[in-house]
Amino acid sequence: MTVPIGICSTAHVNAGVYAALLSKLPEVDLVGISDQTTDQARKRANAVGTSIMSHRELMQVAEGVIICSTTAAHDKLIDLALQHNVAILLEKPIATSLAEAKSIQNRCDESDVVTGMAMPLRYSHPMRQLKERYEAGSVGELVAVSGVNRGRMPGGWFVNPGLAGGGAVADHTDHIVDIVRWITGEEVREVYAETDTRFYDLPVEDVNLLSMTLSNGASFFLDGSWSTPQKNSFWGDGRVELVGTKSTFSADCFGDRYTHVKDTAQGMHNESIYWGADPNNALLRDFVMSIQGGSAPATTLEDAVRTAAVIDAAYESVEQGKPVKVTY
Amino acid sequence: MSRIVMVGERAAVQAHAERYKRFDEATVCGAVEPTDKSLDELDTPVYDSLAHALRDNNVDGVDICGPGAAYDDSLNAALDAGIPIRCDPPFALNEAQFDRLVSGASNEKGWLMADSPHRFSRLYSRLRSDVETGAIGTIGVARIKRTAPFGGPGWNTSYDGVMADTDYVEVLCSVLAHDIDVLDWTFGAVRRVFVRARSSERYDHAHAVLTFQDGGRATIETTWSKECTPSPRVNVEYSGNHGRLDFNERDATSALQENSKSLNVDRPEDDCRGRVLREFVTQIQDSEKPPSNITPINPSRVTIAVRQSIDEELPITISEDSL
Repeated sequence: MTVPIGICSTAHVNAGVYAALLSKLPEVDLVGISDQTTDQARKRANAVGTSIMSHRELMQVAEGVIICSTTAAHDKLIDLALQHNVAILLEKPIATSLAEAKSIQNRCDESDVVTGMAMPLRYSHPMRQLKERYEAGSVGELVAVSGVNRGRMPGGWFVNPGLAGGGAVADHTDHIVDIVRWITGEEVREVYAETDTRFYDLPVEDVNLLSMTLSNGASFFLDGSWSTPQKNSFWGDGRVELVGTKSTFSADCFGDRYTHVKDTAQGMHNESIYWGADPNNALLRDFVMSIQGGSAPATTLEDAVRTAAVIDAAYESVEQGKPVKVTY
Repeated sequence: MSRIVMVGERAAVQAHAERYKRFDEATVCGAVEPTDKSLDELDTPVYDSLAHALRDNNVDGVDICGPGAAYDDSLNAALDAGIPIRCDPPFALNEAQFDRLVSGASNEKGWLMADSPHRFSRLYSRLRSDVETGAIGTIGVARIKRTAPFGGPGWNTSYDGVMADTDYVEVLCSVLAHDIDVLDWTFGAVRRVFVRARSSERYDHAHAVLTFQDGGRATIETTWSKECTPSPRVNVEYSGNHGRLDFNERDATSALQENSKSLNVDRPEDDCRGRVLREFVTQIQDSEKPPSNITPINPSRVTIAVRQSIDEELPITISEDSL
């Protein structure tokens, strides 16, 4: 028995990735892709042999949707899914503000609908191994955490503060903060943020450097800048290093790569190709299982609200020019 | 022939002595070992203080083999005697020490050269040259992450030596000072710093966020193991609006290897430390005094702000008129 799943909006760059993976999952029937602009939806739908439809039509035929809209549109699309009792896997970040994030979580909590965040790093094999070692005590007492999640500047609505809620801070804080919370069980207590617009001519920040402390006292540094050159051979990176009293462990989500140098291409001549286990695939399988009554998605909306609080504190730190406590 | 007295921990003094021996224009006339560890393998008289070494010798230069701030007495003794000094950064870790040295140096015929040896590395020089010629455009974020600040075996001995006389914050500041020096040299003056430092039984760790005067940002992370000596690990990345320059320890050390162990392809007198010592000797032999009594000043001033930031848990802005 297949589960009817839809892609709700193609605004997010991951919509095409999810569509391609869903179309190959035997337990899934990719019933359609919806969008306000039909050209983009048609392109995505044609690529995987599915239908284009309106958001409302999609909600009527799908049991679960992956919401890949602008962050500002999450609110309305979540309400639409809740009205139709359709399970939700939501692209990050949850909302453009902490208040809106809490409101979304409250509305979802009041329903019986399956909800989760599209946070694939919790399914990354290196990260899972790191968590196992941390929980087994191999790291010892945590002294410091260091993370990177840089990427190419995505452009489009990602650089529209009204649609995205900010720039690199809003876009590239979630994954590593979420994974560090998940691995260590600690919360971010304080944030000092340095931001600027240095790489591109944008109305939002593309530099995102966060100096944090965790609830156990460990320091936590994160570089989430849009500093990866557009012509880099790989889109970006996702790494975490744990420095402990017993040992230091580091995990690179995309470390399993090889290089392809092309003699024939006009554009990209060098490309790094990831060959490790695809965490997106595991994320989608888990979502389908949760609709079928299995375990819930790994990252909950409550987790997303806690990350939203860190993002909120980062922007407040920039305004105040000093470290600020995170208010959850 | 310039007569040099060296001051510092055994491993560092021996490394420098090995280089001076290869210079025709310099000779080591004494070494000062501030602790009771033996320097008997050195083929030179050993003194218990710089004052005694200066009394017994006609000294042309004092080489402090480590951060100047950790050898305040020797710095002052050499300055009082008007003798040129070389040390690693920082030369001070608090405002009082800084002001005393800067004002003292301005009144004496001696001078102080406190560059990081990194400036004399071909790798860092090439990176700086590329930045200057626009290879990456305007700097956005520079990132330095290292588990060992100095290459080769024995680096932990140096750390332990400095740790013996001070606390972990001062040692981490001394480690960070080398990268601050290179960043200041490559991207211009640092305007603001925010730093967190932690210590444990096995590791000391610090991360720093720096803002340059022109708005670029930099991060430095340093982890120093106190119980083991891991292979030097470094990752340097300069990202600008037109591209990125980066290297890691493999890029820096893979030119010659025995099995998997890196071997130095430069002769000691021609590696970065050898070249900084040669520059020191050349400056001593120049007939004219350097244009500034202390060079460079900014990295040590920033390192003082680093220490203040750690203590106060706040970002520290360095006033423009002090740079």
